[in-house]
Amino acid sequence: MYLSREDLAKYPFCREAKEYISSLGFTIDEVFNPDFSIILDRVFERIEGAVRIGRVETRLIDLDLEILSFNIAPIILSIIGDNALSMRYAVAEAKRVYEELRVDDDYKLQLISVNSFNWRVRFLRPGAFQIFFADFLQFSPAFEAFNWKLVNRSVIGGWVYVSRGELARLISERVKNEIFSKSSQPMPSITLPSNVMDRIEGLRKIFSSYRRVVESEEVKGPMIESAMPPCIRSLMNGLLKGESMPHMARFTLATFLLNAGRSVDDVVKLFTASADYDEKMTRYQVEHIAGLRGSRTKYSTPKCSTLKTFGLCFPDDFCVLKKVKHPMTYYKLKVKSSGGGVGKGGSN
Amino acid sequence: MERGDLIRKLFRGYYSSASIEAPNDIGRREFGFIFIGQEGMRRHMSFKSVEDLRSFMVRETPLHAYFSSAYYDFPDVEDMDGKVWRGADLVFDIDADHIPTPCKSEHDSWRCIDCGYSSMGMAPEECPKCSSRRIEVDSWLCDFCLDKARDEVFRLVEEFLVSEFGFSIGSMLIVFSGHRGYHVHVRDKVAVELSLEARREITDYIRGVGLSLELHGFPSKSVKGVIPPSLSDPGWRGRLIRALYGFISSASLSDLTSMFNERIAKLIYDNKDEILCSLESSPPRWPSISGLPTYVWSRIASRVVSEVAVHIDERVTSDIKRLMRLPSSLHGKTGLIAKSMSISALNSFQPLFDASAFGFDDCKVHVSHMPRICIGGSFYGPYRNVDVKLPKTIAVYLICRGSANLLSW
Ligand code: SF4
Ligand SMILES: [Zn+2]
Ligand SMILES: [Zn+2]
Repeated sequence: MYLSREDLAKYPFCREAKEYISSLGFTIDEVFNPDFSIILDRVFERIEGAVRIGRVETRLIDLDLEILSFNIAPIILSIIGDNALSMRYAVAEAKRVYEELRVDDDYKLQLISVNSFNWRVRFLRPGAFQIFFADFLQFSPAFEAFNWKLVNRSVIGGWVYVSRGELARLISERVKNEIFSKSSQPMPSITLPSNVMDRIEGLRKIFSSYRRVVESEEVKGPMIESAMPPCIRSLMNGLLKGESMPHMARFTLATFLLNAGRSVDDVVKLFTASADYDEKMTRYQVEHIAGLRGSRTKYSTPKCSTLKTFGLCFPDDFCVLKKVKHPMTYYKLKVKSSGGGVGKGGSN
Repeated sequence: MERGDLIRKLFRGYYSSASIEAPNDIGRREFGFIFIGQEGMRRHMSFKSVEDLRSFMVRETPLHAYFSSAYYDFPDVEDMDGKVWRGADLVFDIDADHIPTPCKSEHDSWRCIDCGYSSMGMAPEECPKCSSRRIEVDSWLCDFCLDKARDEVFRLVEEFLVSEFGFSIGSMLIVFSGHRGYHVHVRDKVAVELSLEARREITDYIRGVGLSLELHGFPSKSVKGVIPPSLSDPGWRGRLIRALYGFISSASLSDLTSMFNERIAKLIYDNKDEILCSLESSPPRWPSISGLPTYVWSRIASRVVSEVAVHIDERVTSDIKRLMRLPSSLHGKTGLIAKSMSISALNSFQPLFDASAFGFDDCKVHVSHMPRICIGGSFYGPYRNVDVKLPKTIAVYLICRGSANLLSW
């Protein structure tokens, strides 16, 4: 069993693909050589797709082109040096990889896990694997859902059961992290040909207008930012930076925003615009939290003591001084003391 | 002699003849010490060899000695980032303070620092009167509490670390803390490389935190089509169903009425055999007893979780830069040796005798206060402001914890 050239084009992050590239003896300067502009075209296409619609398409026409462009994109991103953009791209590529792997042959997932990442993965039966717990734990803590918690898994002799879809998710998360870390490495300054500079400028513009949409939607609404407790502010920052958040963190942020008067739409937009959250799933969850679905209970924000045990509490002087026991109390006290009016409907 | 001088003299006597156990890779560990009569901890220290460490212990005679679970390139650099972290043993702390034992209401007490409210028994997380979390605990050595802690060590090691996580017994060191519990150090390469997040997940796994009963086969709405876990299942699934089975087979009617209304409690009680049989059958099935709601199974399961989880201190395991008590050093609050052992030696380990540094000849002390405690198979106390003759190890314990003065050695 081995990976075909076509597989390498679908999964250009794997070891075999990288070996293939080095066998071609490609250097950075050549990337910017006009003779190879077709490669750069595909690189920009990948990144633009990620920016505009959050997706990158797999194209199996020119296989070399796929392999090369995937591996060159991080170089371009590190020249641009915008972490939010790099994250958006990494997320989109990871999504693509996930969708391919989910429906691909079991042996390929195993080959990639073992040969490219040095994970210990055993094939059990069609669609079912075991992965060594330490490898599972490299990325599972970033996933919010309860079924990703180790305690909700079957663990025997160090091995954790995973389905093909789950293994695909772990692989794609690994890919996301690798792309992001490569894209955020500082680049040695190289002088770029002006046509490349122009394209980079173009990309920057597209991304900044896209970002303006997200940000302008943020300031609306009755939320008074300066009154947010430090725990919520730090979650907010993490989200805006595109960090993945564990379940408890998302739950806390969503309940807080909803209880402070933000609409379901606002909250969904905030989550999906900033990180790799699937819009449909997120909407479902946020509506559930808001009490529009299922049990119809509106959830309240966890207490400070709960946040403390989850390591999400970063008390400031106000928390200590007022002996705040609930983030909502912090918010209400702060709003009152700053004289701002708060309530549904808002002050805008 | 002043108390501090006395303790220093006693400890120095021990260190000058004791053999000090160096942790593996001693040169890459950070050390920290607390000294008699000095505020805070002197840390960021390192030693090249066990000989260096030993002569330091004899010369300086610390009250408490610690070493890092972590391995660093530069353990003696003060800036934590400058140390360059290269991994850490996976460590567990099982302390009787965190395990509910009935005898605590006879020997332990606690006091709220903010409002002064106090009571006997296990300390709550926050004061029931003023919700302050600043709580001062007065806990004592106790055979029963230590036995409980030992049971948890066995479960942690055999059930969780070996059968579920696949660590080998040989990679583990068990250390009696010198006070009310045990530490387990796992030094396998896999363990050493685990990230902070991974350790948190392992901690939650062992404590049963974030457990979803539904994902382990305990239905919340309807049992239709839900195959119950089997008694022989591995991991949490099996652990939960075995605990539920055990609970039902030994439950009295009043145990059940404390959880359910009378009708349901009686229904469970009268159908015990049917329930146990259907869980034993292969494949197992949820019993069909008319009038019995589905939620009883998950309610019982959620009640038994804390009995089958292990009460490890989550802050210790999920801290990758933790300082741990140095095996073979003395615990400054008890004068007992932090004794290391293999898991096979734990069975016959007797904390008071095996960790004694000062023997059992009698000496005379004035005891200001001590509840009745049972340690090393004998009862001592209660004492309040009396002169008594006590075995030296017990006397040093009382002196160290500030409950007695030496009259004659
Ligand atoms: S004390 Fe409460 S409000 Fe303040 S940071 Fe902690 S959790 Fe947030
Ligand atoms: Zn109080
Ligand atoms: Zn006890």
